[in-house]
Amino acid sequence: MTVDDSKVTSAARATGAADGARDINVTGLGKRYGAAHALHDVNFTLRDGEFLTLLGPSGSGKTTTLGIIAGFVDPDYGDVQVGARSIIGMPPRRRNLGIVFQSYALFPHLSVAANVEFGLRMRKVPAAERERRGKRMLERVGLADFAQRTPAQLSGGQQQRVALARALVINPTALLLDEPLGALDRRLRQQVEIELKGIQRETGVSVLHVTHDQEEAMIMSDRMAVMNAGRIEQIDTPTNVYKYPSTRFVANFLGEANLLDVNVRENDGARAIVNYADGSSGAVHVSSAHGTGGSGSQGTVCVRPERMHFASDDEVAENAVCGTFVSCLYLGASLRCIVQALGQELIVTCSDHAAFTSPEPGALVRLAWDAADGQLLANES
Amino acid sequence: MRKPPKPALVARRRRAATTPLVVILAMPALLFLVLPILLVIPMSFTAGHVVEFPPSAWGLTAYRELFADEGWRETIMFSLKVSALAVFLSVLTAGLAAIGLPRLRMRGEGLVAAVILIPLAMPVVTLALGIFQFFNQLQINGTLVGIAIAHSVLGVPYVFLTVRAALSKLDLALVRSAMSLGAGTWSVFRWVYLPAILPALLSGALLVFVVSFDEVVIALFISGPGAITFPVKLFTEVQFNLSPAIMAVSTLLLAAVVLSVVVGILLFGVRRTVYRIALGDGGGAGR
Repeated sequence: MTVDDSKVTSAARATGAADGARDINVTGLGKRYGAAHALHDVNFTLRDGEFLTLLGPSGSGKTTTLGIIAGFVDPDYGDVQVGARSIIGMPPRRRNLGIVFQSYALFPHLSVAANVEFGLRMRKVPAAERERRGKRMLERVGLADFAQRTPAQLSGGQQQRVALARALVINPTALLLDEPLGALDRRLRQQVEIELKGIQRETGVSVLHVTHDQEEAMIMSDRMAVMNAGRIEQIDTPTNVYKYPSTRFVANFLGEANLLDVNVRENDGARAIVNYADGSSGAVHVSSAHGTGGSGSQGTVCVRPERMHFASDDEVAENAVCGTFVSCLYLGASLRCIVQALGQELIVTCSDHAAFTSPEPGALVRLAWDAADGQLLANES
Repeated sequence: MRKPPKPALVARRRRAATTPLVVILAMPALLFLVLPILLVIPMSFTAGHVVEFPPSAWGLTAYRELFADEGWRETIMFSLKVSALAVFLSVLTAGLAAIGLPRLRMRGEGLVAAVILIPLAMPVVTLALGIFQFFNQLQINGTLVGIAIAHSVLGVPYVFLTVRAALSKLDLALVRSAMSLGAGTWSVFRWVYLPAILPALLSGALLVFVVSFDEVVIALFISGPGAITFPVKLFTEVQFNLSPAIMAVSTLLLAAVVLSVVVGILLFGVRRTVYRIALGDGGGAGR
C-alpha cells in the first residue's frame, strides 16, 4: 500500500458526506434502569466530519448515550444507524468506532507503539504496514520519540495523546470521547482542547464528545447537545445555544443567566411582547422551536448579565426596569454588579472602562437591554 | 461520573522504628522459632545410626544412607509430580472461576464464591475423610491423579482469591477499549485479562505448590502402595524408623527453601519477596 491513507479516507469522506453514509443517526433512544429513565427519546445526527458535544451534568444520560453507540450498553428502545444501517446488537469490536476513555485505558504491559498498533493487530494488518501506520499516527500526535516507552512512563497529557492515536489509527467511522480531558489539570486541558480540535480538523473524523465542562464544549464543538435528566434540551452551535437558550436549564447550565418571570402579551413565534413583574412592558426574541407560550400565558425571559447595561433616565430602550444598586465586584477586565429589581437579584457585568463609575449601594438605577438580547424560553412541561 | 484515575504514586508506608530495644526483645522470639529447625542440621552430620544431639561422631553416614535409599528419591519425584498437577488444576479452574464468576452477573454469586473458599475453613481431617470416601467410589485412591485432585481442592481458594484481588483492580475501560479496537473474546483475554492476572496466577501457583508439597493429612488418607508423597514418607519414617536419614533429608529441604528465598531476594528485592511469601500477592497489595 503506497497511497497515503489519509488521502484515501478524505476522498472516501468527500463522497460519503454527500449521501450521509458516514453519518451516525440516533433516533428515539431510550434506556431504563429499573423505574428510572436514564435516557428518554434522544434524537440527533452526528454528521460526517462534525465535532458534536453531549454536554450535561452527572446523570444526564450523556455517558449512557455514548455507551449505547459504542455497543457497551443495550438500549431499551430506539435505534442507532451508521448511514442507513442499524448497528444495534452489533458487538463493539465490529462497529469501527475509536474511543478515548477518561482513564485513557492504555494497555499497561504494552509499549506505546504496541498500544497504538493494537487495533491494526486485531484487524490482522501485516506487521510492516502496522508499524508504518502506527509510527505515522504517533508522529501526528507528536510522540514519535516515545514509541518504546510504557504508558506508565508518560505524563497524563502524553497518555491522552497515545489514546487518541490508538483510536484514530483504525480510521474509525467516528471518534467517541468519554470525558477525555477530565483527568488533566486546567492549564494543560486548554492546550489539549486546541490540539484535539486541530487533529480533528486535520483528519476530518467525526467526533462525539461527552463532557460536563461547558467551556470545553464551547471551545471545541461545531454543535453541542445540552442534556438534562435523560433528554436533549437543545442542540445547536455553541454560539446559538449560549445566545438563544431554549430552556431554563440550558440558560443556567451554560454561563450565567438572569431569568425573569413574565406575562406574555403577544407572541408571533419570532418576537414577543411581554410584561415584567413590575408591570413594565418590553420586547424579546423567540427562537425556541417548541413550546413558548402564546398570548396571556406565563413565561420566562433569559437575559445574559453582559447584555444588560445601566441606562440613563432619558435613554430609549426596548426593555428597561428600575432597581436598587446592591454591590459591585471588580474582576479586572470586567465588573460584576448586583441590582435588586423585579423582586430578585439581577447580575449585570460590564467591561471596565473609564466612563463607568459604579453607583453607590442603595442608589436607584435603570437597567436596559435590547429585544435581541432577551430570550423567551420554552415553558417547562 | 467517573472519578479521575488515582495518581500512580502511593505514599510509602512509614518504616517501623528499629531501636536496639526492639532488636533485644525480638531476638529470643526469633531464636525460639528458628532454633528447633536449625537443630536438624548438626544432627544430620552424624557418623552413627541413631538420632542424637549433639552427634557423638561427625560424618556423612546419614547422607549416604539417604542417597542409597531409592524410596526417598521416588517419593520426592512423586510429590513433585503431584504438586505440579495440583498447581495446574487449581490455576486452571480457580483462574477461570475468578474471571468468569463476576461476568455471569447472577444472583447467588457470593454463595458460589463462598463454596469455592470452603476448603480454607474446613478442618483438613474432615475434608480428607470426605475425599477418601468419595475417591473410594471413583477408585482413584492411591493414585497420583487422585492425590493431585485432592490437593487442588485445597489450592483453589488461594488462586481464586489472588486472581480476584488482581481483577478488582482491573479498569473496565481496558476491556472496553480492547473490544472497541476489534478484540474478540479470546483477544480480550489474551491482551487484557491475562497480563493483568499473570502475577496473581504465579503467586497463586506458588502457594498451591507449597500447600500441596507440604500436605500430609489428605495424602496420608488416600496414599497407597506406589503412591506415597514425600511428607507422608517423612511422617511414617519418623514414626517407625527414626534414622539420621530423616535429618539429612530435612536439612536438604531446609537448604532448598533458603536457596529459593535468596534467589527470590536477588530477583525481586527483600520487600517484594517477603510480601510474596506472606501474602501470596504480586507486590504488596494486601487483601
